[in-house]
Amino acid sequence: MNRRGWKSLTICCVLGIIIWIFLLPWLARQEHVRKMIDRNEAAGIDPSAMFYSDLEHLTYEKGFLRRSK
Amino acid sequence: MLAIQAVWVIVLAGQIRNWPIAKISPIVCALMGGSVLSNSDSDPIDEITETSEQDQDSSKGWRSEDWLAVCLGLAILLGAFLCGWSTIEIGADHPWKPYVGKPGSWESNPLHSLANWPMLIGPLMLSMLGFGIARGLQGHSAAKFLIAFPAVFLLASLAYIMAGQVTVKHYNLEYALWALVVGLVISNTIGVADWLRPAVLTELYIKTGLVILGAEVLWHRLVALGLPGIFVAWVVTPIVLITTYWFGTRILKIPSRSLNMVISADMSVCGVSAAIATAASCRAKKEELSFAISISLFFTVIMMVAMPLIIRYIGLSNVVGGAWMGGTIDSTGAVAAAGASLDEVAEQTAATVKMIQNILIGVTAFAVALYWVMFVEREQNSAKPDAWEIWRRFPKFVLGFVAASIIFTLFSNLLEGGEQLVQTTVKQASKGVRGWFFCLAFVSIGLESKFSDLKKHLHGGKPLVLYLCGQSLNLILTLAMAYLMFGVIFADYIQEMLAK
Repeated sequence: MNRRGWKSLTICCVLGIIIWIFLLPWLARQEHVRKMIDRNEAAGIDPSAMFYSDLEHLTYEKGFLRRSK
Repeated sequence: MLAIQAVWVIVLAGQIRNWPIAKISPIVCALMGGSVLSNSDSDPIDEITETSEQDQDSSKGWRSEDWLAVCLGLAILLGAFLCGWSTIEIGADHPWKPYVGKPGSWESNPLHSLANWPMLIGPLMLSMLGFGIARGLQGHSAAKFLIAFPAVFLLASLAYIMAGQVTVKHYNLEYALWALVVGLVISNTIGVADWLRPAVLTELYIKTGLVILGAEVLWHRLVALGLPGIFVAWVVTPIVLITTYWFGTRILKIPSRSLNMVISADMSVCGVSAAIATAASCRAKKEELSFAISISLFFTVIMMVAMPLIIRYIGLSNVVGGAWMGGTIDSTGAVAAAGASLDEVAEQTAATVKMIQNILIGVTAFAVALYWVMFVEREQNSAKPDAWEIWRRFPKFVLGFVAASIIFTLFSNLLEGGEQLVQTTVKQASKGVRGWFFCLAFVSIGLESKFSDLKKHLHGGKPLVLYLCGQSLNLILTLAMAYLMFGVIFADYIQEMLAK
């Protein structure tokens, strides 16, 4: 058994849990970040979209990608 | 019952390669890109593709990875389209919608992302069935694949959950990055267990995902926005791509041409999706793709926040600013978010310019594949390739990608209600599957990479210099063209279109 490897993996997992469960939610509550999140969510924007078809809130219509009415 | 039947199909597929058709049809085999003499078998896991591996793979004819990716991708697309066509009325939901999707977003409790867990069933079953059959046809053990695949799928799910945290999501740190991180952490700590390796299939996942992506590349949308769109996306994008590639090769003298090309396409076309398509077309190394995507995502976060502030500061109109951001920010989602921080007009203009660039990846992937086969590999091999050699070496999955694109463009234009049907099929069925295949590919890349391999591609920081120089040129040229087209020459025309 690779003891050193398992130890490193455990450290990575603990770090990941601290960042994702505590740090990132705390960041999301900060005013400037919250403002951006709320604005995007109100418009239905997914900023992590990889391709234009991942933009659920936009539909191609009359030469433009427009917000769905 | 269905699952048991599916497993039987996969196990039986392992025998299909021995069926007479493969033995009595050498001409068919050769026409599919293979040598009729060679029947060598390889398991390429070290690089996205090396030339020698490509030779070995193409020697398998119709059982090569490329053709299997084409068949699987087109079969999934056709299945999704027919299910949509036969069972829903125009405007209704696609029947796959409840079963195909990714974990949702969450803020402080990751379990919230699994609220719609049935959405994971479709991708899991489709992947096990499709890739299981493909592995069987390639002559590998489908059973070993079926044992290993759930673990890789679990890692991909973890990557999606990490990407779904709201802060991460709204800063555009896409799942591709976290899939790489998850894979890298495992491979660099405890290592990849032997039992897991049969499901670490970077190439097959990427190529199949790209064929499915083809359905989202609808050619008639290349003329969206009319002439202004053509000038910003069609003229500036190729100029920036070619100039950046030339700069990297001739001035910076970056040793790896494929790394140079992937960074150039990633930066000038449309970020991660362009990087994936180009990397597969020019047979880039896995680490090169990881490296290009990491640089791109890092600068996307900066540009997404900074560009709206700069546009406001210099007093650009929102239409021109939107076109500028659409042509320069790499990632599509970040373009929409940055545009929306100005207003709806900027968001729509930015997203539409980016959509045209998205669609250009079809042309880019084809052109890069052809250029690589005709010129780059020719220089390396010092032999002038004839038409047959070009065909033999050409990455065939690109043909599947282009075919899917053409077929869905025709469906969209020729069928009654086709536009709506294609949009529903893509948005509610195929893009979810495509996303999973790319996520699985990035987990696989991470699992096959070592940090020491990534270091090799730093080349004294030259790739970073290449990105910065290329992006600077992109920013200047796109701003000039956006101002001319959207702010001066076609300003009234754009306003009329927006008012429709």
